[in-house]
Amino acid sequence: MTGRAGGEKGTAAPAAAPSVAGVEWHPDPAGEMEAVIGLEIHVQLRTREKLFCADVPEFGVDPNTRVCPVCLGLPGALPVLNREAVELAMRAALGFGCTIHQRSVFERKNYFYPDLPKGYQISQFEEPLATGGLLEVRMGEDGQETFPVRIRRMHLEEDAGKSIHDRVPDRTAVDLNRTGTPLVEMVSEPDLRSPAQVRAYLDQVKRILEYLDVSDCNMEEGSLRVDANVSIRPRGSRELGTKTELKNLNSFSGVERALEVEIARQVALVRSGGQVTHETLLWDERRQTVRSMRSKEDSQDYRYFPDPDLPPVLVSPAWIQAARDALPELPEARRTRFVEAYSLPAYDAGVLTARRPLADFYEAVVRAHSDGDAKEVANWVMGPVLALANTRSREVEALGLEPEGLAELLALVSEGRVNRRAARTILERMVESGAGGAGTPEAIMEAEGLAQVSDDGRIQEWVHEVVAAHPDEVARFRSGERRLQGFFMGEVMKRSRGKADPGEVARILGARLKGV
Amino acid sequence: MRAASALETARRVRAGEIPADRPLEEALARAREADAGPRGIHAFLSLSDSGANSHPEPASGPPPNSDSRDAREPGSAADDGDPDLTLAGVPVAVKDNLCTLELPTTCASRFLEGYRSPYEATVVRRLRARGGRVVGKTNLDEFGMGSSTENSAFGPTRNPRDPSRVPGGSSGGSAAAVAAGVVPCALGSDTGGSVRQPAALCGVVGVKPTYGRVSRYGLVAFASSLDQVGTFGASVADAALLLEAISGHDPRDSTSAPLPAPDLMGHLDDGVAGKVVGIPVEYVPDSLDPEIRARMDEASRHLAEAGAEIRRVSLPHTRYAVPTYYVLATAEASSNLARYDGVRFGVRSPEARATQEVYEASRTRGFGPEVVRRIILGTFGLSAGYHDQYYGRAQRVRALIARDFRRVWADGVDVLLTPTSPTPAFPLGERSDDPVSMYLSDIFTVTANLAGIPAVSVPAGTTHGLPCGAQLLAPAWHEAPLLAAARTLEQSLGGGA
Amino acid sequence: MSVGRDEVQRIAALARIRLDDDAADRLDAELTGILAHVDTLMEVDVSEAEEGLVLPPPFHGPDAPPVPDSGSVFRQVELEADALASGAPGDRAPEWSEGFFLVPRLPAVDGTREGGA
Repeated sequence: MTGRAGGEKGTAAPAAAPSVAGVEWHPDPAGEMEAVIGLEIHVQLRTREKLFCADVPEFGVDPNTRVCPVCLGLPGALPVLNREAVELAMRAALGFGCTIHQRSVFERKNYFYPDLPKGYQISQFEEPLATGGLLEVRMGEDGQETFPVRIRRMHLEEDAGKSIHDRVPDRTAVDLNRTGTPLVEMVSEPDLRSPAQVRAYLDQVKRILEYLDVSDCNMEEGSLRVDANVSIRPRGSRELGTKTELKNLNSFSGVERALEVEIARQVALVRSGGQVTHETLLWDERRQTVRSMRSKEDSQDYRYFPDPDLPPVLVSPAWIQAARDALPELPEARRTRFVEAYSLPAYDAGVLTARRPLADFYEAVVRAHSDGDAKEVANWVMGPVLALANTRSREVEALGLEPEGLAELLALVSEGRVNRRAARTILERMVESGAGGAGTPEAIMEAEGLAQVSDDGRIQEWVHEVVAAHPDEVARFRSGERRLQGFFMGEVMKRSRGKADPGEVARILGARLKGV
Repeated sequence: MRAASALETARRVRAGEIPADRPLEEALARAREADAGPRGIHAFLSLSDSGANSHPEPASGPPPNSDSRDAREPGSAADDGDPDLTLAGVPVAVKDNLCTLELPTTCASRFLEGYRSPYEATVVRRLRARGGRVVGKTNLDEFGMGSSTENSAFGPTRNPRDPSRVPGGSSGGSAAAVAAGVVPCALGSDTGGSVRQPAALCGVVGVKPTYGRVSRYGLVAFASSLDQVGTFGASVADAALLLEAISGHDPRDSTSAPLPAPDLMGHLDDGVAGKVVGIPVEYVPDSLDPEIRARMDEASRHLAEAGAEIRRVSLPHTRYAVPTYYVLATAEASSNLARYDGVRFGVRSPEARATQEVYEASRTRGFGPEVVRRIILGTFGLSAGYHDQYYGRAQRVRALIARDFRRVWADGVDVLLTPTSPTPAFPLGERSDDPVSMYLSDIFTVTANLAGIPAVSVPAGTTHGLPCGAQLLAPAWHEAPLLAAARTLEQSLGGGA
Repeated sequence: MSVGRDEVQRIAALARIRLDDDAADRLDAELTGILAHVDTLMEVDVSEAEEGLVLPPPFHGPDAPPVPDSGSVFRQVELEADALASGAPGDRAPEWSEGFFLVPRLPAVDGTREGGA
């Protein structure tokens, strides 16, 4: 949507060509063509009420039960703007470095569709809420490569309802519960060059939105929706080719795959002497193909004009400043801070800041484990804790694991009261029992008898038993098969049910195997 | 027997001199009589049951909004003496483009035949909260689009003063109901003159307040930036009483000004002594009907005798007002009427087999020719390639028209005096086939809507044996001095008992 | 300017109104007449006109009512959803089943049209 009638060709060539990160993927074996991609992302804001009426949208409730005269578009009903939506939209725009405009204007985008009750969508067009943002997108193994994506604009608009085509024979069923839910539409400049770059951009956008806490960012529930504009051109050219618009992209991987398919289609078309036509294409996830959506005679003429039912949105500089001041720390800043403040490797900082709740969890553990080593905490969170979350298909914050509890456990480790192995067992018990179940790590340690044994006599005993039970291995060890050290260590630890102090075991075992 | 004045009715009901329901019952009887038979004026599209609207707040409905005035239980005759019940027992006719719960809201369109709104317009709630009673819903040009009430899908309304003639429009039913003495006051809506022009043609008072003075919530939109609910009265006082009751901020309408309702009744007798009355030369062109010119001269003489200074002024962009109005009003209408798609309400053509056909069949069957004409014109003016030339340009000319008025006010003018209509009531059918001549009926009234300023039409004698209206205009938010001037004119012409 | 039958039909299609050729010709003639009148706007010098007014003139200039403290008009917290005071959403619908409004089937997009905007 670049013009009143829908532009045939983009006009603005990007001022700065993106760096090379992520462009290794070649749609064109000869490498002569490159793709130019821009994204429109619709972000559903998590306001309590709808954008222009007081209905409370909810996902998964009975159809047409979250509707009122305003969002049903009944005769005589009028919209009144939800302040919270403006607040969240401003926060989102500031999070991507956009400039907030003190005045923005709602306009009517006129088109007919059964799930668009008024026959127009209230959106922003000539005077959007925010423009001119920038995102440095990280790519590559360690996230050290970056490329810039400029954000053209971010504006507020209302969502349409849902049309369900496969529910009633020969009928399209319309549910208007979603109608009027606030959306921010985030339009990038055509700065992306490959599906992989697009994926990295989307991941980062989603991460930032989660940090900003403006949206549920749930693609399955449609709270994040992506349309892509894509064209191809000879590598190195400044011109933009004719673009197609891809819709119905229901997952990030779907976006990636659809772009691969569409770019390949365009390249093949052009190489065989054809021309790309400006059209809207629908991604068919099942068939992994694109197909044309709109016929030419219905070419879009949205007849935008300022909505006379809604005064311009005026936001004072003080309000903008307050929103800016209230911005949470964003992933990039946090990642940098983690590297500096906690002396973490860039990789660890990247993993730990990938999601705000995870980063919050990590920092809470570090705070509670104040005399501990932050890197040690990172190892525990990225290792056993994330592993537990993965096996349970849950996020870390949903494990029922209190940061204080984990800190306590790490304190037991650093004080030498449990060894690592026992600590992992305790961690599992803590997660299994959930919040407040089996008590503190120390209580679990006591109850399960997992306290580390450093007592010389007990360890001597276990070592003796192991050596006695494996005469062949002892002989082989003594004849030079040193790698059996690990076998003996394991056997001793097994006998101690994991409780023995591994350092002590190694010392005593070493002496015993060497000697007499 | 004609309706007693609203002021008198409310006084007597409050004092317990008559039962609260009696004025409504009497009005219903008069309405049936006035509309009956081949010579009936057909002012109403539906009439209330006399018992149906004695409960202003339906038990199932939530309070209309945070305005405490609306939430009050206004009650019945037992509330005698409550000074807030300014409309106690007063029968009011309501234009059928204002949403009501008990009665259908059709906008005189086939599309909405039998449509019942699940909520009530703020102005209707407010008049009920003041003790007023809805007599019925009055006829109009479909969706307010017309100047004669002939564009009603349910047949035209006739002018009570001469049933062979139109009552004007689009609020012709409300004007006729007041002129016929069925009710002392009525609600209409005014987008380009739809209250003032029928008031003039029927010989009653019609007020269009400042844009933003009265809530549009529940007024079925024609052109949102021009629409404003207005009132009719047999006298200036009755029109003012009703206007005061419905005015004031409504949180459900973002274009409703955050201002309290004005004190109109307290200033009705302020007169015009020391005021400057401007007569814009563009409104009394050489081509003006000499009889209308004579009525205007009389009106200005009366105002001068009451102590006003009369001054000739100029509003140079007046001649562009009608084309500006038709571009903007139709553009907004083309969008406002997109919701009539046959999906959630309204008619659906049984032959429709595809959604595209649902739309086209429903809209083509549901809309009358004038509505189609305006939707096409408005769609044209907004469409790619024409947008800037038509819609964009008209917006800017609108700003110039408003500036003309501002300059006049800045020069010290308090009120402007003009004719309301270039002609008296014309015979039914005379202009039906000529849209441009019909559009020019609005030539003196559309400027107030474009500038958003308040205006009133007051009876100013007769021309060719038919009622003639004088229009007064005032700066935005100055309804009180406007109506005081209207009252002065009314009294000098022997009206407004 | 003259509009032309084809252009009238294009506009009518945009507005989802069906016109037979007679109706299109009649509207063409009417619109041409109206536009001749409207074209007088071309002679106006609009260089001094304010641009970008959204609210009508009473909300601008010296007479404008006070602007709310927030600077913008927002829904008030206490303003509850105006319930459908009488009946259910489907009561007025020409075709309604199992809680849905129904229309003849549209070309499907994987079952559900998710993309709203």
